Amino acid sequence: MKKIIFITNGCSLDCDALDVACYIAGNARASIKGLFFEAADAAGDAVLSGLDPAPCGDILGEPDTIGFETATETRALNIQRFRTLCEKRNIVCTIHCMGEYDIAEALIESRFADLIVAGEKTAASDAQGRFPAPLLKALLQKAECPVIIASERISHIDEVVFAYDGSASSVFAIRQFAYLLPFFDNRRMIVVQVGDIPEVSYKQQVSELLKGYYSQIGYEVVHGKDPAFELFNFLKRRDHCFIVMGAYGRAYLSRLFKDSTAEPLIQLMKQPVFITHH
Amino acid sequence: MIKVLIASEGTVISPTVFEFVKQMNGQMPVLLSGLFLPASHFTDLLTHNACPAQDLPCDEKMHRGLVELVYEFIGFCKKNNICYTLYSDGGRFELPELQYETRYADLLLIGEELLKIADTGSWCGSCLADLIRDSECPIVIIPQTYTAPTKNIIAFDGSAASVYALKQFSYLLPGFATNETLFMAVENNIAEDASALNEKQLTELAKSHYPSYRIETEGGSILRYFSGEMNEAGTLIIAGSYGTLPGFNVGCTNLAPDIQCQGAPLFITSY
Repeated sequence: MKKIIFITNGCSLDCDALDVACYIAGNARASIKGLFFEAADAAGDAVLSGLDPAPCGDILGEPDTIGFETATETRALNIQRFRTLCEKRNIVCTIHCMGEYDIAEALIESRFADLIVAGEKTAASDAQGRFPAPLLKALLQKAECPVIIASERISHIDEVVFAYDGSASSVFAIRQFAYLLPFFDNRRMIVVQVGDIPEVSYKQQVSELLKGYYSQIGYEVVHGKDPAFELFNFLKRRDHCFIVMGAYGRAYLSRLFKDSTAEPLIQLMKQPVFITHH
Repeated sequence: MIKVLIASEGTVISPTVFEFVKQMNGQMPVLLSGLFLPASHFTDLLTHNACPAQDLPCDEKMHRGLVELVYEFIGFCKKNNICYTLYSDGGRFELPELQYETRYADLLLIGEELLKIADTGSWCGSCLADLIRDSECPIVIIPQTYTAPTKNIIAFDGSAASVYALKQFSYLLPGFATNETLFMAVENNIAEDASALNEKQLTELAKSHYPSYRIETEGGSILRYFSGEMNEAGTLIIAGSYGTLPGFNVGCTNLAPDIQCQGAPLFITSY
């Protein structure tokens, strides 16, 4: 049984991300440890976020319209909701509350976990407008296990897209995804590489590696000069897919986090993204 | 099905390596990828002394030996229903190729002969350190004398490398992870005392991956396995990079001491 960490703002439970964490834990027969952070602006945010529309779908019942006066009470209620959701799905869960600046402790937790699931709310701009928020940025740069950023619930997954560039990091991500989420083995796998190349690099070796795990594998080269932009264009045309990427701070991902003319690209992606750095 | 890269020691692959593969395949099917290199060339690769491809010492006799080994490899795979692929050196194999092969593999298996110093019978510490640094997948070093592992010993110092190793081991060799597993404290600069073994997080992770685990906080006992003093049959040792091995100096491969690990396969990762 694997161990998944779900990270959320204690005062603003990210139900969509929790739904993704439960989906993965249910399929991988994993336990979930909820890390509830005290938000920087907790006092001002002491409302039951995610309650409009209904919190966590129909599982937790009708939205609770009662107001709460303190962040502590809101966090306690969110913890209870977290527990209830996990119990309803028969997922073993534990809770750990953390202070606003306990990023170092979160990184230690990541060392002893197999996977982190964080939601868009963890990624959202903080009070100073920094994106991604310092917590998620630290996790992506320094977490010692893969991280999944989930912005929407998973209804179903038709395909998995491996953002591949031939680097050690991109192959490492493919391998870790196969170990940790083996239940996607009957989905379509697409290895996509951006560049002016005739075919994906080391195709024979990638193929040999992937064949051990998957039966439907496709390869696609996207021509273009800007890998991040081309990759984003490729991904935005797809629905119900899971994206797998390598190192943060390199190649695609560093661009995805930079401010572009519109929003940072990663904020526009609605599919879950599995990221490792090694 | 994981892809396991198996490197020849010149014109032989140790029978114990084959035995280990058989045991692995019995627990979970593997794709075995054979890498056939002249022994001296492989050692040179490890120590970064590889000569230019055209000067490789691969004479006709050695070539014949390698071909026979390939047939032996194929025969072994067919007899044991193991999927396989072949990579023959052809005299053009260089270090980047070895690295690329490990990039696209889940596990590298080698016989300890590749690391052994003839005079002392110990493993060449700097060769091991080089191998760990260059390989992009975890490595299992199989000793010449072999007893099927029934017990795991995890050399643990609380570092990222040691936790990474224990996680990867459970992903890649889940059949072995169900064996009795002992977490042993390693005394080094990272963990000056055994407090790392008391961490709540370690217990949580150990429970998740090793159903039959025990934690031994007495630092120093792991040394007996590496000094050759202890030779317990059926033991498999798990360590995260050479920094986790007793006596190794993190970041300074020149100081890597020659060690013994008699009778116990060693699973080690690069982090």
